[in-house]
Amino acid sequence: MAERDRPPTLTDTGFQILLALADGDRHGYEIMQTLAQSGLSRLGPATLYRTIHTLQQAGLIEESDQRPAPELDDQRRRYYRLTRHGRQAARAEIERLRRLLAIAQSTPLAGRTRPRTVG
Amino acid sequence: MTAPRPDQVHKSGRAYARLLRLLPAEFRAAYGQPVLQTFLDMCSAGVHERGRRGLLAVWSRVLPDLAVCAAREWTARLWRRIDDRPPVGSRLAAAALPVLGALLVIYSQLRYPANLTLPEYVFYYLALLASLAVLTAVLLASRAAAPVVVLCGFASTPGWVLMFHIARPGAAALVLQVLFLIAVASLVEARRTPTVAAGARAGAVTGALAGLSMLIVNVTDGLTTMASAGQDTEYVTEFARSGQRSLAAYVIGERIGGGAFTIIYGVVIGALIGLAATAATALVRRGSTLSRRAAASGE
Repeated sequence: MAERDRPPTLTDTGFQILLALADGDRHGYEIMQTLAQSGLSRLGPATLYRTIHTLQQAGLIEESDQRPAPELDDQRRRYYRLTRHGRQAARAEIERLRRLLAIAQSTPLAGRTRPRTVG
Repeated sequence: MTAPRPDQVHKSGRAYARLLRLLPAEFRAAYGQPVLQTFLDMCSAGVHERGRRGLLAVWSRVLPDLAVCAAREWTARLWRRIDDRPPVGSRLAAAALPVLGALLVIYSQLRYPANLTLPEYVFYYLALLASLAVLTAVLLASRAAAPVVVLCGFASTPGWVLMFHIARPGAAALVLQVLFLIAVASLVEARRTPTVAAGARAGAVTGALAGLSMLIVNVTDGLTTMASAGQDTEYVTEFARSGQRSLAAYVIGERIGGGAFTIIYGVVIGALIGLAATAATALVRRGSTLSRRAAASGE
Protein backbone atom coordinates (compact mmCIF):
# COMPACT_ATOMS: atom_id res chain seq x y z
CA MET A 1 0.00 0.00 0.00
CA ALA A 2 3.03 2.20 0.49
CA GLU A 3 4.21 4.31 -2.44
CA ARG A 4 7.07 1.81 -2.89
CA ASP A 5 4.56 -0.93 -3.79
CA ARG A 6 3.83 0.93 -7.00
CA PRO A 7 5.93 0.28 -10.14
CA PRO A 8 8.30 3.26 -10.44
CA THR A 9 7.19 3.89 -14.02
CA LEU A 10 3.51 4.08 -13.15
CA THR A 11 2.70 7.72 -12.53
CA ASP A 12 -0.81 9.05 -11.93
CA THR A 13 -1.08 9.95 -15.61
CA GLY A 14 0.26 6.54 -16.64
CA PHE A 15 -2.27 4.78 -14.42
CA GLN A 16 -5.08 6.84 -15.95
CA ILE A 17 -3.96 5.80 -19.45
CA LEU A 18 -4.05 2.15 -18.34
CA LEU A 19 -7.61 2.72 -17.12
CA ALA A 20 -8.54 4.32 -20.45
CA LEU A 21 -7.30 1.20 -22.25
CA ALA A 22 -9.07 -1.20 -19.86
CA ASP A 23 -12.00 -1.88 -22.19
CA GLY A 24 -10.25 -2.00 -25.53
CA ASP A 25 -7.66 -0.64 -27.95
CA ARG A 26 -7.63 3.12 -28.43
CA HIS A 27 -5.60 5.68 -30.34
CA GLY A 28 -4.07 8.75 -28.75
CA TYR A 29 -6.94 11.16 -29.26
CA GLU A 30 -9.46 8.59 -28.00
CA ILE A 31 -7.38 8.12 -24.85
CA MET A 32 -7.43 11.90 -24.30
CA GLN A 33 -11.18 12.04 -24.82
CA THR A 34 -11.82 9.11 -22.48
CA LEU A 35 -9.77 10.74 -19.72
CA ALA A 36 -11.43 14.13 -20.23
CA GLN A 37 -14.94 12.63 -20.21
CA SER A 38 -14.16 10.74 -16.99
CA GLY A 39 -13.08 13.98 -15.36
CA LEU A 40 -9.47 12.78 -15.12
CA SER A 41 -6.36 14.45 -16.53
CA ARG A 42 -6.66 16.87 -19.44
CA LEU A 43 -3.47 15.90 -21.21
CA GLY A 44 -1.84 17.65 -24.13
CA PRO A 45 -0.65 15.54 -27.08
CA ALA A 46 3.06 15.82 -26.23
CA THR A 47 2.62 14.76 -22.61
CA LEU A 48 0.24 11.99 -23.69
CA TYR A 49 2.82 10.42 -26.01
CA ARG A 50 5.64 10.98 -23.55
CA THR A 51 3.67 8.95 -21.01
CA ILE A 52 2.76 6.36 -23.65
CA HIS A 53 6.47 6.03 -24.42
CA THR A 54 7.25 5.42 -20.72
CA LEU A 55 4.47 2.83 -20.44
CA GLN A 56 5.65 1.07 -23.61
CA GLN A 57 9.22 0.97 -22.30
CA ALA A 58 7.96 -0.56 -19.07
CA GLY A 59 6.01 -3.18 -21.04
CA LEU A 60 2.68 -2.04 -19.62
CA ILE A 61 1.10 -1.20 -22.99
CA GLU A 62 1.93 -2.06 -26.60
CA GLU A 63 1.00 -0.88 -30.05
CA SER A 64 -1.96 -2.83 -31.36
CA ASP A 65 -1.93 -4.34 -34.83
CA GLN A 66 -5.72 -4.65 -34.88
CA ARG A 67 -7.18 -1.72 -36.79
CA PRO A 68 -10.72 -0.62 -37.54
CA ALA A 69 -12.38 -1.20 -40.90
CA PRO A 70 -10.48 0.57 -43.71
CA GLU A 71 -13.26 3.13 -44.28
CA LEU A 72 -13.02 4.15 -40.60
CA ASP A 73 -9.26 3.84 -40.27
CA ASP A 74 -6.62 6.53 -40.55
CA GLN A 75 -3.19 5.01 -41.14
CA ARG A 76 -1.51 7.92 -39.34
CA ARG A 77 -3.13 6.90 -36.06
CA ARG A 78 -1.54 4.43 -33.69
CA TYR A 79 -3.66 2.16 -31.54
CA TYR A 80 -2.52 0.94 -28.13
CA ARG A 81 -3.60 -1.88 -25.84
CA LEU A 82 -2.79 -3.17 -22.37
CA THR A 83 -0.28 -5.97 -22.02
CA ARG A 84 -0.74 -8.75 -19.47
CA HIS A 85 1.85 -7.05 -17.30
CA GLY A 86 0.00 -3.73 -17.71
CA ARG A 87 -3.27 -5.33 -16.63
CA GLN A 88 -1.55 -6.80 -13.53
CA ALA A 89 0.07 -3.44 -12.71
CA ALA A 90 -3.29 -1.63 -13.03
CA ARG A 91 -5.00 -4.22 -10.76
CA ALA A 92 -2.20 -3.91 -8.21
CA GLU A 93 -2.53 -0.11 -8.26
CA ILE A 94 -6.31 -0.33 -7.81
CA GLU A 95 -5.78 -2.64 -4.84
CA ARG A 96 -3.19 -0.27 -3.37
CA LEU A 97 -5.58 2.68 -3.71
CA ARG A 98 -8.42 0.63 -2.21
CA ARG A 99 -6.33 -0.17 0.87
CA LEU A 100 -5.20 3.43 1.11
CA LEU A 101 -8.80 4.60 0.94
CA ALA A 102 -9.82 2.14 3.67
CA ILE A 103 -7.14 3.54 5.95
CA ALA A 104 -8.09 7.12 5.08
CA GLN A 105 -11.73 6.42 5.87
CA SER A 106 -10.83 5.06 9.28
CA THR A 107 -9.21 8.33 10.30
CA PRO A 108 -10.99 11.37 11.76
CA LEU A 109 -10.02 13.25 8.64
CA ALA A 110 -12.53 11.26 6.57
CA GLY A 111 -15.35 13.75 7.22
CA ARG A 112 -17.46 11.80 9.72
CA THR A 113 -18.26 14.85 11.79
CA ARG A 114 -19.74 14.49 15.24
CA PRO A 115 -23.25 15.90 15.71
CA ARG A 116 -23.07 19.31 17.26
CA THR A 117 -24.59 19.80 20.67
CA VAL A 118 -26.56 22.95 20.97
CA GLY A 119 -27.00 24.97 24.11
CA MET B 1 -18.76 33.22 -33.57
CA THR B 2 -16.88 33.14 -36.89
CA ALA B 3 -16.29 29.67 -38.34
CA PRO B 4 -12.60 29.23 -39.29
CA ARG B 5 -11.81 28.09 -42.81
CA PRO B 6 -10.40 24.53 -43.16
CA ASP B 7 -7.03 25.96 -44.27
CA GLN B 8 -6.72 27.60 -40.82
CA VAL B 9 -6.66 24.11 -39.29
CA HIS B 10 -4.00 23.13 -41.81
CA LYS B 11 -2.00 26.27 -41.02
CA SER B 12 -2.25 25.42 -37.32
CA GLY B 13 -1.01 21.92 -38.15
CA ARG B 14 1.97 23.30 -40.05
CA ALA B 15 2.80 25.72 -37.22
CA TYR B 16 2.54 22.96 -34.61
CA ALA B 17 4.71 20.64 -36.74
CA ARG B 18 7.40 23.35 -36.74
CA LEU B 19 7.10 23.76 -32.97
CA LEU B 20 7.61 20.02 -32.51
CA ARG B 21 11.27 20.69 -33.36
CA LEU B 22 11.58 21.77 -29.74
CA LEU B 23 11.46 18.09 -28.82
CA PRO B 24 14.59 15.92 -29.04
CA ALA B 25 15.07 14.34 -32.48
CA GLU B 26 14.74 10.75 -31.20
CA PHE B 27 11.41 11.47 -29.54
CA ARG B 28 10.21 13.35 -32.63
CA ALA B 29 11.17 10.47 -34.91
CA ALA B 30 9.29 7.98 -32.73
CA TYR B 31 6.18 10.02 -31.85
CA GLY B 32 6.16 13.21 -33.95
CA GLN B 33 3.55 11.93 -36.40
CA PRO B 34 0.98 10.66 -33.85
CA VAL B 35 1.47 13.79 -31.71
CA LEU B 36 0.72 15.94 -34.76
CA GLN B 37 -2.24 13.75 -35.71
CA THR B 38 -3.68 14.05 -32.20
CA PHE B 39 -3.26 17.83 -32.39
CA LEU B 40 -5.14 17.90 -35.73
CA ASP B 41 -7.91 15.76 -34.19
CA MET B 42 -8.15 18.27 -31.33
CA CYS B 43 -8.28 21.18 -33.79
CA SER B 44 -11.02 19.57 -35.86
CA ALA B 45 -13.09 18.80 -32.76
CA GLY B 46 -12.48 22.30 -31.33
CA VAL B 47 -13.48 23.98 -34.58
CA HIS B 48 -16.52 21.75 -34.94
CA GLU B 49 -17.74 22.63 -31.45
CA ARG B 50 -16.75 26.28 -31.01
CA GLY B 51 -15.35 27.58 -34.28
CA ARG B 52 -12.38 29.97 -34.03
CA ARG B 53 -12.58 30.06 -30.24
CA GLY B 54 -12.25 26.29 -30.21
CA LEU B 55 -9.04 26.60 -32.20
CA LEU B 56 -7.71 29.21 -29.77
CA ALA B 57 -8.63 26.95 -26.84
CA VAL B 58 -6.64 24.12 -28.40
CA TRP B 59 -3.60 26.36 -28.85
CA SER B 60 -3.82 27.63 -25.28
CA ARG B 61 -3.74 24.00 -24.15
CA VAL B 62 -1.02 22.58 -26.39
CA LEU B 63 1.56 25.37 -26.09
CA PRO B 64 2.25 24.96 -22.34
CA ASP B 65 2.00 21.18 -22.81
CA LEU B 66 4.67 21.23 -25.52
CA ALA B 67 6.95 23.56 -23.52
CA VAL B 68 6.73 21.39 -20.38
CA CYS B 69 7.15 18.17 -22.34
CA ALA B 70 10.20 19.51 -24.23
CA ALA B 71 11.81 20.67 -20.97
CA ARG B 72 11.18 17.29 -19.33
CA GLU B 73 12.42 15.29 -22.33
CA TRP B 74 15.65 17.29 -22.63
CA THR B 75 16.24 17.09 -18.87
CA ALA B 76 15.60 13.33 -18.89
CA ARG B 77 18.03 12.88 -21.78
CA LEU B 78 20.68 14.93 -19.99
CA TRP B 79 20.30 12.82 -16.83
CA ARG B 80 20.41 9.62 -18.86
CA ARG B 81 23.68 10.74 -20.43
CA ILE B 82 25.16 11.62 -17.06
CA ASP B 83 23.97 8.31 -15.58
CA ASP B 84 25.62 6.39 -18.42
CA ARG B 85 28.96 7.89 -17.55
CA PRO B 86 31.09 6.56 -14.69
CA PRO B 87 31.27 8.49 -11.42
CA VAL B 88 33.08 11.84 -11.61
CA GLY B 89 35.62 10.69 -8.98
CA SER B 90 36.87 7.71 -10.97
CA ARG B 91 37.10 9.77 -14.18
CA LEU B 92 39.05 12.49 -12.39
CA ALA B 93 41.37 9.89 -10.82
CA ALA B 94 42.04 8.29 -14.22
CA ALA B 95 42.59 11.68 -15.89
CA ALA B 96 44.96 12.74 -13.10
CA LEU B 97 47.54 10.16 -14.27
CA PRO B 98 48.31 11.78 -17.65
CA VAL B 99 48.26 15.21 -16.00
CA LEU B 100 50.76 13.95 -13.44
CA GLY B 101 52.88 12.54 -16.29
CA ALA B 102 52.86 15.92 -18.06
CA LEU B 103 53.88 17.74 -14.87
CA LEU B 104 56.72 15.27 -14.32
CA VAL B 105 57.98 15.85 -17.87
CA ILE B 106 57.94 19.62 -17.40
CA TYR B 107 59.71 19.22 -14.06
CA SER B 108 62.31 16.94 -15.63
CA GLN B 109 63.13 19.50 -18.31
CA LEU B 110 63.50 22.25 -15.74
CA ARG B 111 65.93 20.06 -13.80
CA TYR B 112 67.72 18.63 -16.81
CA PRO B 113 67.56 21.34 -19.48
CA ALA B 114 70.36 19.90 -21.63
CA ASN B 115 67.90 18.31 -24.10
CA LEU B 116 65.95 21.52 -24.65
CA THR B 117 68.68 22.85 -26.94
CA LEU B 118 68.05 19.93 -29.32
CA PRO B 119 65.08 20.55 -31.70
CA GLU B 120 64.16 16.85 -32.04
CA TYR B 121 63.91 16.49 -28.26
CA VAL B 122 61.71 19.58 -28.00
CA PHE B 123 59.49 18.07 -30.72
CA TYR B 124 59.26 14.77 -28.82
CA TYR B 125 58.36 16.50 -25.58
CA LEU B 126 55.66 18.56 -27.29
CA ALA B 127 54.27 15.38 -28.89
CA LEU B 128 54.24 13.73 -25.47
CA LEU B 129 52.41 16.66 -23.86
CA ALA B 130 49.85 16.65 -26.70
CA SER B 131 49.32 12.86 -26.32
CA LEU B 132 48.84 13.23 -22.59
CA ALA B 133 46.38 16.10 -23.11
CA VAL B 134 44.33 13.94 -25.51
CA LEU B 135 44.46 11.03 -23.07
CA THR B 136 43.28 13.29 -20.23
CA ALA B 137 40.36 14.57 -22.33
CA VAL B 138 39.37 11.00 -23.30
CA LEU B 139 39.46 9.79 -19.70
CA LEU B 140 37.49 12.81 -18.46
CA ALA B 141 34.78 12.37 -21.06
CA SER B 142 34.34 8.61 -20.97
CA ARG B 143 34.62 5.62 -18.71
CA ALA B 144 37.67 5.31 -16.51
CA ALA B 145 40.36 2.71 -17.19
CA ALA B 146 39.14 -0.85 -16.57
CA PRO B 147 40.96 -3.02 -13.99
CA VAL B 148 42.41 -5.27 -16.74
CA VAL B 149 43.97 -2.21 -18.39
CA VAL B 150 45.59 -1.04 -15.17
CA LEU B 151 46.76 -4.59 -14.39
CA CYS B 152 48.31 -5.14 -17.84
CA GLY B 153 49.88 -1.67 -17.83
CA PHE B 154 51.72 -2.20 -14.55
CA ALA B 155 52.44 -5.89 -15.29
CA SER B 156 55.32 -4.66 -17.45
CA THR B 157 57.16 -3.47 -14.32
CA PRO B 158 59.09 -6.75 -13.65
CA GLY B 159 60.43 -6.62 -17.21
CA TRP B 160 61.74 -3.08 -16.74
CA VAL B 161 63.29 -4.00 -13.36
CA LEU B 162 64.94 -7.00 -14.96
CA MET B 163 66.34 -4.82 -17.71
CA PHE B 164 67.85 -2.26 -15.32
CA HIS B 165 69.00 -4.33 -12.38
CA ILE B 166 69.46 -7.97 -13.08
CA ALA B 167 69.98 -9.63 -16.41
CA ARG B 168 69.50 -6.79 -18.91
CA PRO B 169 67.66 -9.05 -21.39
CA GLY B 170 67.41 -8.10 -25.02
CA ALA B 171 65.30 -5.01 -25.66
CA ALA B 172 63.30 -6.96 -28.26
CA ALA B 173 62.04 -9.44 -25.62
CA LEU B 174 60.96 -6.58 -23.40
CA VAL B 175 59.18 -4.78 -26.22
CA LEU B 176 57.38 -8.03 -27.14
CA GLN B 177 56.26 -8.44 -23.53
CA VAL B 178 54.78 -4.90 -23.46
CA LEU B 179 53.08 -5.37 -26.84
CA PHE B 180 51.58 -8.65 -25.61
CA LEU B 181 50.18 -6.98 -22.48
CA ILE B 182 48.71 -4.12 -24.52
CA ALA B 183 47.10 -6.62 -26.91
CA VAL B 184 45.58 -8.62 -24.02
CA ALA B 185 44.06 -5.49 -22.42
CA SER B 186 42.77 -4.19 -25.79
CA LEU B 187 41.20 -7.55 -26.72
CA VAL B 188 39.45 -7.89 -23.37
CA GLU B 189 38.06 -4.35 -23.60
CA ALA B 190 37.13 -4.67 -27.30
CA ARG B 191 35.17 -7.84 -26.52
CA ARG B 192 33.41 -6.17 -23.59
CA THR B 193 32.59 -2.90 -25.41
CA PRO B 194 32.35 -3.33 -29.18
CA THR B 195 33.26 0.22 -30.22
CA VAL B 196 36.42 1.42 -31.97
CA ALA B 197 37.02 3.94 -29.20
CA ALA B 198 36.96 1.27 -26.46
CA GLY B 199 39.77 -0.84 -27.97
CA ALA B 200 41.92 2.17 -28.93
CA ARG B 201 41.43 3.77 -25.52
CA ALA B 202 42.33 0.56 -23.69
CA GLY B 203 45.46 0.16 -25.82
CA ALA B 204 46.56 3.77 -25.36
CA VAL B 205 46.01 3.71 -21.60
CA THR B 206 47.80 0.36 -21.18
CA GLY B 207 50.71 1.71 -23.24
CA ALA B 208 50.81 4.90 -21.17
CA LEU B 209 50.80 2.92 -17.92
CA ALA B 210 53.57 0.64 -19.21
CA GLY B 211 55.54 3.80 -20.04
CA LEU B 212 54.84 5.16 -16.58
CA SER B 213 56.14 1.89 -15.07
CA MET B 214 59.34 2.28 -17.07
CA LEU B 215 59.64 5.90 -15.91
CA ILE B 216 59.32 4.92 -12.24
CA VAL B 217 61.86 2.10 -12.62
CA ASN B 218 64.20 4.41 -14.54
CA VAL B 219 64.08 7.10 -11.83
CA THR B 220 64.61 4.50 -9.09
CA ASP B 221 67.57 3.13 -11.00
CA GLY B 222 68.97 6.64 -11.42
CA LEU B 223 68.76 7.31 -7.68
CA THR B 224 70.26 3.96 -6.66
CA THR B 225 73.19 4.38 -9.04
CA MET B 226 73.74 8.07 -8.29
CA ALA B 227 76.97 7.39 -6.38
CA SER B 228 78.58 5.85 -9.44
CA ALA B 229 77.25 8.68 -11.64
CA GLY B 230 78.97 11.14 -9.29
CA GLN B 231 82.28 9.47 -10.12
CA ASP B 232 81.72 9.70 -13.85
CA THR B 233 83.76 12.72 -14.97
CA GLU B 234 81.79 13.38 -18.10
CA TYR B 235 78.48 13.24 -16.23
CA VAL B 236 79.73 15.53 -13.47
CA THR B 237 80.99 18.07 -16.04
CA GLU B 238 77.59 18.02 -17.74
CA PHE B 239 75.92 18.52 -14.35
CA ALA B 240 78.20 21.48 -13.53
CA ARG B 241 77.42 23.09 -16.92
CA SER B 242 73.66 22.79 -16.36
CA GLY B 243 73.80 25.25 -13.44
CA GLN B 244 71.73 22.89 -11.24
CA ARG B 245 72.58 22.69 -7.55
CA SER B 246 71.27 19.25 -6.61
CA LEU B 247 72.74 16.18 -8.30
CA ALA B 248 69.69 14.09 -7.20
CA ALA B 249 67.27 16.52 -8.87
CA TYR B 250 69.47 16.52 -11.97
CA VAL B 251 69.46 12.71 -12.13
CA ILE B 252 65.69 12.53 -11.53
CA GLY B 253 65.13 15.09 -14.29
CA GLU B 254 67.26 13.14 -16.73
CA ARG B 255 65.62 9.81 -15.93
CA ILE B 256 62.09 11.19 -16.14
CA GLY B 257 62.95 12.60 -19.56
CA GLY B 258 64.06 9.12 -20.67
CA GLY B 259 60.91 7.49 -19.33
CA ALA B 260 58.74 10.12 -21.01
CA PHE B 261 59.64 8.79 -24.44
CA THR B 262 58.41 5.35 -23.41
CA ILE B 263 55.06 6.89 -22.53
CA ILE B 264 54.83 8.55 -25.99
CA TYR B 265 55.56 5.26 -27.74
CA GLY B 266 53.20 3.46 -25.36
CA VAL B 267 50.26 5.79 -26.13
CA VAL B 268 50.75 5.75 -29.91
CA ILE B 269 51.56 2.05 -30.34
CA GLY B 270 48.92 1.13 -27.76
CA ALA B 271 46.21 3.01 -29.67
CA LEU B 272 47.22 1.25 -32.91
CA ILE B 273 47.18 -2.19 -31.25
CA GLY B 274 43.80 -1.29 -29.70
CA LEU B 275 42.38 -0.49 -33.15
CA ALA B 276 43.72 -3.78 -34.52
CA ALA B 277 42.21 -5.66 -31.55
CA THR B 278 38.83 -4.02 -32.18
CA ALA B 279 38.96 -4.98 -35.85
CA ALA B 280 39.94 -8.57 -35.00
CA THR B 281 37.14 -8.85 -32.42
CA ALA B 282 34.61 -7.48 -34.90
CA LEU B 283 35.74 -10.02 -37.53
CA VAL B 284 35.46 -12.93 -35.08
CA ARG B 285 32.03 -11.71 -33.96
CA ARG B 286 30.87 -11.39 -37.57
CA GLY B 287 32.22 -14.85 -38.41
CA SER B 288 30.39 -16.51 -35.53
CA THR B 289 27.15 -14.68 -36.45
CA LEU B 290 27.43 -15.90 -40.04
CA SER B 291 28.13 -19.49 -38.97
CA ARG B 292 25.14 -19.40 -36.55
CA ARG B 293 22.93 -18.15 -39.40
CA ALA B 294 24.27 -20.84 -41.72
CA ALA B 295 23.60 -23.51 -39.09
CA ALA B 296 20.07 -22.15 -38.52
CA SER B 297 19.26 -22.12 -42.25
CA GLY B 298 20.69 -25.67 -42.58
CA GLU B 299 18.24 -26.90 -39.96
